[in-house]
Amino acid sequence: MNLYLHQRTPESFSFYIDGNLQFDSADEAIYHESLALPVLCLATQPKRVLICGGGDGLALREVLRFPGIQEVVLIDCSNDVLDLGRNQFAELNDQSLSDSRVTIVVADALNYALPTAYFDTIICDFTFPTTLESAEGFSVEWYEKLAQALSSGGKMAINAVSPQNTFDAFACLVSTIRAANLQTLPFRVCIPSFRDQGYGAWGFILASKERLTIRQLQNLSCPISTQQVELSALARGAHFTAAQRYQFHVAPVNRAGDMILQRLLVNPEASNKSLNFDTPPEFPNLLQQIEVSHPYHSRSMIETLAEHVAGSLQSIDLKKLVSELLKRAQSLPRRILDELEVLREYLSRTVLDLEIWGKWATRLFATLLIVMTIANSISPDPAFAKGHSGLGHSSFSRGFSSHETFGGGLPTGPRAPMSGNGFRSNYGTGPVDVYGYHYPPRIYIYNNDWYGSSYGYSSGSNRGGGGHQPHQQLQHKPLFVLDDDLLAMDNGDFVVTLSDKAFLLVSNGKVTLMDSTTGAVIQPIYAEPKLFDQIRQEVNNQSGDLDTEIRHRRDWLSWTGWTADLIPTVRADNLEYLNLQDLKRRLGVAGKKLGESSDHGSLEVPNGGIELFVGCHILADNRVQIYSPGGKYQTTDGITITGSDGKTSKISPQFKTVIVSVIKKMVTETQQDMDSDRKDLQSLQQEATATQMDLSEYQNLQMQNSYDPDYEVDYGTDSIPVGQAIQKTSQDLAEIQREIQTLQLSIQTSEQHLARFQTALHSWSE
Amino acid sequence: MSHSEAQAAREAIAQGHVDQALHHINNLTMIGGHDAEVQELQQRLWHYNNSINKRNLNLQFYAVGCAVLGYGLLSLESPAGWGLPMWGLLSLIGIPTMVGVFAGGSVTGNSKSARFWRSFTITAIAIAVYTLVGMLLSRSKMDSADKSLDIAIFLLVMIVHGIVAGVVSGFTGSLIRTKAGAN
Amino acid sequence: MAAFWRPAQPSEFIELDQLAGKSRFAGFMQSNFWAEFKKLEGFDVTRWVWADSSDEVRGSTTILRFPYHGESGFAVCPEGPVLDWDNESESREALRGLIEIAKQFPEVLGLRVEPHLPIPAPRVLRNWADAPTDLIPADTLALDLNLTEDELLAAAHPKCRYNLRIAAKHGVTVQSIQDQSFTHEFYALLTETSSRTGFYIEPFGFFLNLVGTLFKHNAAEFFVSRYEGEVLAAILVVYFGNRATYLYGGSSSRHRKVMPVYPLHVAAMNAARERHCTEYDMYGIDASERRDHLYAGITRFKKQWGGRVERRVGARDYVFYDRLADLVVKQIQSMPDFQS
Repeated sequence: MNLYLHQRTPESFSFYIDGNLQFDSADEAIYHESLALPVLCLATQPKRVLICGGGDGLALREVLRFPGIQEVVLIDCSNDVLDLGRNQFAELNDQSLSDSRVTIVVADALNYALPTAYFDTIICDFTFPTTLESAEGFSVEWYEKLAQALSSGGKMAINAVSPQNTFDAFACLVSTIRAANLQTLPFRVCIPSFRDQGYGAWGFILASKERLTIRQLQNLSCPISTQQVELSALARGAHFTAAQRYQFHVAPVNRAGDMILQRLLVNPEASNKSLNFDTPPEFPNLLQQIEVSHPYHSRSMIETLAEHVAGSLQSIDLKKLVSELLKRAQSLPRRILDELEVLREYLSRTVLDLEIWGKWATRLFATLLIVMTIANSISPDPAFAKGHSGLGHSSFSRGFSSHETFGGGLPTGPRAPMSGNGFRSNYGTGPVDVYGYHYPPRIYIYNNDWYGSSYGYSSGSNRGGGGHQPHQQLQHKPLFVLDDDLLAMDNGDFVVTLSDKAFLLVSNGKVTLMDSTTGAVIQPIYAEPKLFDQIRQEVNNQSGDLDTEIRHRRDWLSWTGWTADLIPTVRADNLEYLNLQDLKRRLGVAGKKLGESSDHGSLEVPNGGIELFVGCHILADNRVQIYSPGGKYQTTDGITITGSDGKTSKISPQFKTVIVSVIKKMVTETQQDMDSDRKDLQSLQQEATATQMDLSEYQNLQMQNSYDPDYEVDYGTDSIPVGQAIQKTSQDLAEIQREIQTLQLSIQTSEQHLARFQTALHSWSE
Repeated sequence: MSHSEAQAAREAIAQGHVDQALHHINNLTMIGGHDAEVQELQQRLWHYNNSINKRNLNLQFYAVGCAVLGYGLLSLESPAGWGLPMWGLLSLIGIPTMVGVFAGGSVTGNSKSARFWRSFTITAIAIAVYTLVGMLLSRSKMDSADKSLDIAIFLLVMIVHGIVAGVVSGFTGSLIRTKAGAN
Repeated sequence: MAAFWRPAQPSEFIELDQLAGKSRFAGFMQSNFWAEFKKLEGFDVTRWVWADSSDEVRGSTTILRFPYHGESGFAVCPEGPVLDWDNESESREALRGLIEIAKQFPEVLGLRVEPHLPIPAPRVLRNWADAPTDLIPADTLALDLNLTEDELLAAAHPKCRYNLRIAAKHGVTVQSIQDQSFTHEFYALLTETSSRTGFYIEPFGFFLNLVGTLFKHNAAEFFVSRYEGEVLAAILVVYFGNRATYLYGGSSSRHRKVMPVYPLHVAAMNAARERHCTEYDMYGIDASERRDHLYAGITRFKKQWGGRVERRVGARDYVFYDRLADLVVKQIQSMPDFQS
């Protein structure tokens, strides 16, 4: 048991057991008066009281104040809590634990023998049940035992759970007490400290062998004064809707061997409905049906987990599973079995390809995914999803790198759209992405009408990547981060960042290479239609997300918008709504402003060439070829620049600087990718070597044992015939080698590219 | 004399003046009216009362049904979905008025305040429930929201909606004059 | 000599802690304090000893299960089991024994192990499936605390030293705290960090339990950095055996330019040295250093400190296919068109 006393001042403190708030000295009287006084008032001249739990002595304090009490038995299993009750809480509980009428028993109340028909009042003040074990203190068997200890006319009060946050669990408790042949009167109370912890309104249940009514609660006549509770007002908390009262009758009963209460508490939305499978199964819909097992977890975590389960299913022995399923033939109809038989045969030859399979094999896979996702999610552990590569912006750091905040508490899953605060007060101060993540501000400097007279086709002034100097430099801020290196600007332009010195400005069907240091136009670029399509696609996709979020906020504000002047959170919601609308509008403007590409037909990468960026390639001889609008191109070796008409001139320093920066970035990124691939390759090769050694060993053993088919070998922790071990190991090795080949190809390509970039950089830098 | 009392009683019943009718029937009894006639008048009065009570009950059901149906239909879309002016017109004026007409008509007697409060209560409760459910649903869809003051917001909006619609309904209800109940 | 598993006696827990602490194949999740913490979190925790017939202890493990009404999950040996994994035949026998133990729990769908084994996975795990999630990050960065502070920083990236100087120039101070009451402030920092990055944090009660248990066993410390009296960042470091692990950290959005996080780790490493730790585990990186990995930024930060990259095999599952088949059949039977 973890006991924690948070002392704010000598008189003011809060007490936690196992991380759960038990009481706060500021408002504990609300809880303890609500728990103890109504039941004492309802009992007929109570003299003998049993308190289970409550070692803090606070419920006891209330009991002892009540006139006529002759004897109190308090059973608590924790000496440590009782110690606190006698010492740190003594002033608060009026030294109740030292009262001569009180007998304290340090024991597990569930296993303590109680006298029959002895107590006029029983108060059950157990801690919140978070485990199957602690849920036993809320079981029908326990309440039956307490009922036997109640005298005729005796009454009971039970500390329940929150009917607000976990209504199903609350109803389960009521139903459980009824199942012990007791009448119940549940009611709820608002305790500010509980509400601040997120526990919601708290519930209590009065119980008795005789009927209890709300009127009795309304007409409570209490001989002692109260500190914080108005007893007559408690009845207001006893009103539940008809539907809720119906639930009290039909909710499941928490009993030994079937502790449903725990599940209802950790997953307030638990249900026993069976999964609804489409044919073929639509995975997003299926995943939606998996319960979120814990308050610790979120829907997006479950979906991420399911993705990783799907990935890890490759290493599940599907053949073995199918064999086990076939052993259960009696439980499955013939048509499923037929399909599974063929599936088993298929799996012995190759890896599962769901595209070609009938509905039951696909459902099998889907069911497997669901079952394994649930199995992996029922523990509340925050687990690290393997190999997850997230949104990650290469040139846009998420604020972790140079301004590092911390590194622990590693991310475990993707975030929901708009979940961050970037659309609230931070909006407009820096770019934001679809998740609401707010990036450090950046400025892009260029002339607003760059696409006007500065084009200069006719004058040719832009030949050589002319360093056109705009007459009016304006600062433009990126508004929205659409993807790695793709930004939507505040004025509707799009920026594709190429390097720290260069970017592409995309707008009005045109693409221009810009110097990010001076804001100068370097060169108009061929407006590759694919680029426009990609940008448009990205804008449309994310606009869709924006639309949804705008609609949600619009709906909310249509109810509450007029309270914005009064309530700061609604003001913030309104701000967010306006900001989202602003962004949507601007994206719409940007989308229109994007226009259709003014050039038609995609450029092909020349033979032996590598794309540096859209419309620009490094050729086999390390010259850079850059395409202008209309399809004309210029080629440069870093010293001179030659047009497609053969005319040559000196390259402008600005242009050169920009190209060099882009090549440098490509060098860095290609090197990084290659290094990453090499690291992965190294791991794979180690794995391949180990697997090859195992295979050789199995083959030797097979030979040494004269190819005896029954000869068994250790395959991991299993013992299987050597032939099977060879087959499985060969399959594993083949799979690893396929991955190695893919990686090697990728590395080879990267090496070629890197060599080219480095040579080009060298020659350009001279 | 008995004839005039009996006649007066019949006229009072026909005009729905229950107290007057009772007064005349009592007079008739005192001055020795025929038992059969007295009985017949009493029965007529009793049937009349019954039909008024039944009518009142029906009107109450209509009022509640109108509120439930009206706000139920409105709940198909958010207020923004209906368009705020249209929504305001329907939820704060249209439905409350209809409820007021039925609820107001379900109260016998001259008491405007009784009519007001009955109409007010039905409408206020209906719109409060509808508002709360609507807010809960729309709030649950927002991830980035600061939900710390939600309870205060829910209460405030529910109360204001309840009061505004309730007053419209109550005012309408109070204007209704029923045949029965005029003294 | 043949060995077998038996339940551990409480009197053996200290010895088991020492065994796990010394093992290079295990981590703090095999410790007593972690077992105690998991119990508070509602896990069913059992401790086991792998001993030979003369009762010489050769291995141990904690097994965790989370009993959940009506569902099956995995029995987990977090950062374990503690075995001599270099001895293939012994580790094989031990795993087989553990499988039998796991089978005794009727609601368990399989056994998950997560030893600190470098890749490639040993032969003994050949028939174990890749688990979809790890309890600890499979790849991490370890700093050698046998080096002095100066030696360590000399081997670090210049940017790291530069940021430390910035912090020093601005007068950022670091304090170590072993008081549970700081959990409130720490949680506020975590919450702020989480809302900034959008990433997940556990509830407050989790941290109360974690910190309470760790501090009770003197197994952890907060390190807190302050600037002009204001708390800007804090980390929680766990000590077990010869390894200190940087487990959680949070920072304020304010005054980030004074680099409050950097001096925290220096202080933590110094404190770890005093506790005779020889390694400081940065707890999670992307060992491939992919540009677009979710951990890319975190990896860049941690790699600034130098250190040695550890790539581990991660968690592996032994699946009970018969029980899995039972569950799958049950699901299939519940499908609406099952009978048609």
